[in-house]
Amino acid sequence: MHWTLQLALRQLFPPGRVFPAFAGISILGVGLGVAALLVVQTVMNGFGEEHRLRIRESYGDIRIFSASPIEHPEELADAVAKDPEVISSTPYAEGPALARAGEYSSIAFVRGVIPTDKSLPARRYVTDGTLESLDDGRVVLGAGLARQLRVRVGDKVDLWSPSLAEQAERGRAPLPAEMEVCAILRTGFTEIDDRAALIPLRRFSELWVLGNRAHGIIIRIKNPADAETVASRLEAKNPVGRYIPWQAEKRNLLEAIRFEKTMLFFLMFIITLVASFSIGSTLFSSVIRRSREIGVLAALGARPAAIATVFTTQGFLIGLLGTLFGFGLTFLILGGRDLILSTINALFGDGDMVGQMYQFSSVPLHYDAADFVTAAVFTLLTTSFAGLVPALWAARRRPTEAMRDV
Amino acid sequence: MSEPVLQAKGLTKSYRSATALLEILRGIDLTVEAGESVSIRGASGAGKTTLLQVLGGLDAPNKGELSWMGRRVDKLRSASLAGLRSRHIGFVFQNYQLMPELGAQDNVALAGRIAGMSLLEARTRAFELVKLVGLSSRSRHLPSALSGGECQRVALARALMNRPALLLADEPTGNLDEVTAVEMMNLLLSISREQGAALVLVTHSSEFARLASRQLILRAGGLSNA
Repeated sequence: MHWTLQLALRQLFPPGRVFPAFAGISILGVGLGVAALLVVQTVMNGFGEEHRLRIRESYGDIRIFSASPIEHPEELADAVAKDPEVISSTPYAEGPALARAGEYSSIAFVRGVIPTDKSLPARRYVTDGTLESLDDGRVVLGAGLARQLRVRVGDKVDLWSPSLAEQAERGRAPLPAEMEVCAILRTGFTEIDDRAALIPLRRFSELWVLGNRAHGIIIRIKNPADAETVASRLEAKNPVGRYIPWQAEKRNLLEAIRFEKTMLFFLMFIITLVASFSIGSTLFSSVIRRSREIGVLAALGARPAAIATVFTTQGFLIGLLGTLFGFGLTFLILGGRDLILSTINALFGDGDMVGQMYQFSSVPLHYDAADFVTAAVFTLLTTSFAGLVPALWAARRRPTEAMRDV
Repeated sequence: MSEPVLQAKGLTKSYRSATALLEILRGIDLTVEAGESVSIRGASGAGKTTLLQVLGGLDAPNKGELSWMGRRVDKLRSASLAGLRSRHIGFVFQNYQLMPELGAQDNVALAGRIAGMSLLEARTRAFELVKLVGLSSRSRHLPSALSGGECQRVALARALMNRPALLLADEPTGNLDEVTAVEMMNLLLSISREQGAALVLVTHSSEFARLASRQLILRAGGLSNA
């Protein structure tokens, strides 16, 4: 161990003290700043990731969309499926309908799917019943929609499509499609859970009078990050409709989340900067307090650079330990986020604020190593710099001048 | 014939105050040979400490030449001077000036570490010196747990750490009671002789000054024989 490090450690953590006040409070300050930064970044990442996942699950990695329904969609789906990057391609159709169960009714957003499609994301979110039993007489409902209609698996639901309403306008008396609830799904995304209803595509075509047409094709590929490239290639080979990669779906929302994350990084980083300034100020007073010791070091033959190193090292060590403490605190806060949130809700909110505002049933998280590395590098740089300024001041003083002080 | 350990020629040092130029040292000439002990007495404010600091390279003279072991040092940059100082000069201060966070042995070892010794080498040598000054049982004690006399012994051990050719002692007994001061002075003289270091001792006490092989008086910025 170099003597400058040994001395810096001893000055930060003097032997015989249970709580070294200067080091302890400085490390705590830096740690809180780092934790605030990382908690916000990790939650923002979580929001972004959840949105991206929901977009990909709802619209696939690539969606073929046409202004008018696509004729013979199976042929197009088969043609697209020949690309080696494509895992599956399935036609879909969707539209709003009035759902009613007894005295309760709600607007459902109905999607026609291929029940045998193994890549259907809804399979992962079934909490009650089974998607395997989905057929022309059955429907899968989002948990929120089922709650609004007061139905469970096995109960009956009437669906009124716009086509049935058109028939009524023409003076006919159509009957609604009566369907049995075969499964309930809960994605945690309120927008889906409160509205989604899945029925077989064939049944959808009947109710919406689509014939052998679909509203689009949902394509899933091996590497979703390549969706833009694959979409361009597929569109060139099969020029029917527009090929929309998932990154282009709700682009504004994703951009807004990314921008918000960047802005929050800088806002939160100010906390770390404030902590670093306070370290700089405290180290300055430490340098003044230790003027005589600095003079003695010089008398013992320590070079000015070595004296500066002692104090810069203290800033660096505070930054390092503060960062590690901040990492630990981040995991602790995020681990107990639901408890923290429910306490905040109970004290200041009214009900499920996250669900109401952000469409999620709990606070989403996504740990990104890059955020941790960035926070650590920025913190170490600022705390080292905070130590460097008083250190240079100490190093520039003449030994006799330093020893005359105090 | 070997070079003198210390040679000063025409050293002057002055400070500018708000109203006047204060001339502290006026043309100091001093040569100290290896193994020699020189005491410097003088009234308070005569400039004894300033002289010691200039001789030790802690402060630069305004004029004159300063050489250690035949090498001119008065024009060296502070980093080069620091390197030479750590190898050739040992300081003993009136107020011990120990690092409060380091134990006795670590305080002594620090001088070696600064001069480039490895941790093991420095600690081994430091323990030998701590033992030499009679503090082996207190080698891990912090300065706050040591008496004034013990602290000064640690400071002496630290000054000897790098086997310096020259020891500069500034009122080493100034903070000690009479009995401890005598003990300390005997230790300083005997150990410096044992270790082969020349000694320049600044003191108020004529009794202690007489123990040195040569006695000088600093008066009106100049040195004269006592």
